[in-house]
Amino acid sequence: MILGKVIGKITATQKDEKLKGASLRIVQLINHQGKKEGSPAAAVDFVQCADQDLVYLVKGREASLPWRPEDAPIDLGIVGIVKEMNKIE
Amino acid sequence: MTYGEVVGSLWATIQEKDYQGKKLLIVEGIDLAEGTKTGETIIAIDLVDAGIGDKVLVIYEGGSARLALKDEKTCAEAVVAGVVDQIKLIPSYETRRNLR
Repeated sequence: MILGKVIGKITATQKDEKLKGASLRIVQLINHQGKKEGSPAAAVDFVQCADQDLVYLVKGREASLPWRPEDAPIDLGIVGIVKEMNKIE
Repeated sequence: MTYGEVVGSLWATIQEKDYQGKKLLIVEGIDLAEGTKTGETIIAIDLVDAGIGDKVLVIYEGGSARLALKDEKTCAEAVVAGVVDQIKLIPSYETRRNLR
């Protein structure tokens, strides 16, 4: 899984029918020191996160597993809101 | 598998049910030949009780992670699958690794 910061929201009424009701968030992926990793991406929110939240995400096929109906076209999903992190420097 | 060092751990109360009760570690990738940091940060579910500072092997692919977690439907893609005791490289690589 990877870390990310929620920086926005996307509204898309016209989309794949399996994604109806999905909340699309804009996320800036970061490493554990906060350095940006690539450009912002769109992710489906599974945990009702808020703007500015530090979250962790799952990529690929696994990102579609929490969603119902099954086999929705999702390759990036927010699966947790980080509450606390301790790291050695 | 990815080789790396455990640099921290992470807690979340609001999260997908598959992560309830699972320990999450922050692993920083390390180049196996050079011994240098790759700058890649991976959040992985700990299956082997690795501690902070341990050198570990991370399975960083969903299918195998789900097999390791023994749950076909879990939405995780990275698990810590082993703690590394020792690395031995062929001489030409070993010198390069120590020269660094």
